[in-house]
Amino acid sequence: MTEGVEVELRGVTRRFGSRVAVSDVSFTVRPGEVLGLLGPNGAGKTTTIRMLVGSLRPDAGTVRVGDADALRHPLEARRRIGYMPETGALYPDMAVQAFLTYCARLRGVPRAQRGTAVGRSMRAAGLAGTGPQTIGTLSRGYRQRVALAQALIHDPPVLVLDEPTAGLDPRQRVDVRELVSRLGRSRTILLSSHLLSEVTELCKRVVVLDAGRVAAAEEVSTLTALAAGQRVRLELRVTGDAAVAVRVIGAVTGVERVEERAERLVVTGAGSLQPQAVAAAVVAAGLGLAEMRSVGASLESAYLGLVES
Amino acid sequence: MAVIAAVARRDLRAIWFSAFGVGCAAGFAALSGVLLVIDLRSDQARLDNWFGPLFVMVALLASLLTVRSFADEERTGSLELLLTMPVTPWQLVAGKVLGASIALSGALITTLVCPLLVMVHGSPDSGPILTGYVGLVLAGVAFVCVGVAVSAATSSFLTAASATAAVLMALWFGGVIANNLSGRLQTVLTYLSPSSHVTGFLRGTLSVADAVYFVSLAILGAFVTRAVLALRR
Repeated sequence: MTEGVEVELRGVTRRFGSRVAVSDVSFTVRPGEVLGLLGPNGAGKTTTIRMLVGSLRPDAGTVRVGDADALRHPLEARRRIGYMPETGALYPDMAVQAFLTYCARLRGVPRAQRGTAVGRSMRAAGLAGTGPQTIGTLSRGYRQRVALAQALIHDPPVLVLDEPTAGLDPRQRVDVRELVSRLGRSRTILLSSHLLSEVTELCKRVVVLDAGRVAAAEEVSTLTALAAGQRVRLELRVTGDAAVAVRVIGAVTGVERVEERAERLVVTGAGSLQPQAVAAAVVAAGLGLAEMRSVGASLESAYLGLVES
Repeated sequence: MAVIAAVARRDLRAIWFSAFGVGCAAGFAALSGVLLVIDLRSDQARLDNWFGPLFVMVALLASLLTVRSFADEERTGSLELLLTMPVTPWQLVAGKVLGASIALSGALITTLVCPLLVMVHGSPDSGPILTGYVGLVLAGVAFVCVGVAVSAATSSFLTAASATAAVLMALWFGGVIANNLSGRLQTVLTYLSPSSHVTGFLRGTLSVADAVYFVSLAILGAFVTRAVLALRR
């Protein structure tokens, strides 16, 4: 294991039949780091995570967790990981406390410490008072908390969270995000999410997967700086025929794409694109320009640049 | 061992504390009662004709009880979590087999009332009753192992139950069909069929060959389950 690395995937490849789901994926997670795993649907995020947590075997490559080779010593590697799957993966017929006790048993928590471990993980996941409740009767937000609590039951140094806020309402999302942020102070976390705002808030570094390959593995700040230097993004509110506006703006030098989004036009272009030229083209076409603003470079623009290139 | 017990306990609880499990056990008990009534029409205090069809019912019960082992876990997504636990595949297989076997044995216990009733009203030979139950438990565990293997290969509740029943019935009635055949095929089909290995138990004898057959079937089922789990990864 490389010095100062908690999780390491090297040259990991996985095929399903003739389809290559993940190809030659390599990245590391440092101790105490919250690393974001990004990518569009079908990019290979969940497959990568499954190979890391041991529910899938890679066809090639190596996976290490701490000092353990996950392929040669899978149980040792799994003991170091707490995994919260994307789908609930819970037993709806079990009570919260009974389920967590069951997980503690499977995780090898000694009998004398099980009660304490269950209580601690319930408190950490904000589940105090829900012990006797049947999991199937809980709200989706609370079920996510139960899934998180089971990942924490053996106090693992590494947490792997696959879409932890998927399907939650905004309030629940904020709660889970705060929880992950708190947990990130004492643990290494690999977080897969579709929500770029979430990743920006929680992670310093991201790995972007696209079509089963690593498209980038950078600090969030490095990616956004890179995006700022490479692309211009404008938002316009135009009065008049939107189709004409799309056509005339599209003809401006440097414009790569014009999209209609809720009464606004979003223009993306190369660094050489002049906003004045866009404004002039709109006015010259006899349309009104009610508003135009430059949108700052964000993880979103960096991400889009990576997965669409 | 603690892990095996934990998995078995969880499955047992899921079967016994569900309408499905209670329904299966109640249906099994009721049908065994009906079989007893039919058997007692001969006015003889003997139960070999009662035990015979009970073996077929045990096969069907095993098909139903084992769908929870893996197919249901796959359907609900909990298998994903189970496979990431620090548990060896053998521990998982043993836990699943143990849980379903205890549930099946529980259903068998409910049928004890039938021989007890016959004993109250007559004097049946206790030997065939004892060996009959030994045979039912042995066959039940073997059928459970086959069911767990089929359950591991599918995520559909219905497919798991019907495929297990189909495999077990094909094995069972393969022996019946073999009676009309000759040569090596007849020998093979007869040996492979559980129906030809229960006769001794019905007569009150315990044959090592029959016990070896059911133990071998159980081990084969466990190995297939292990292989299917490895293929899933």
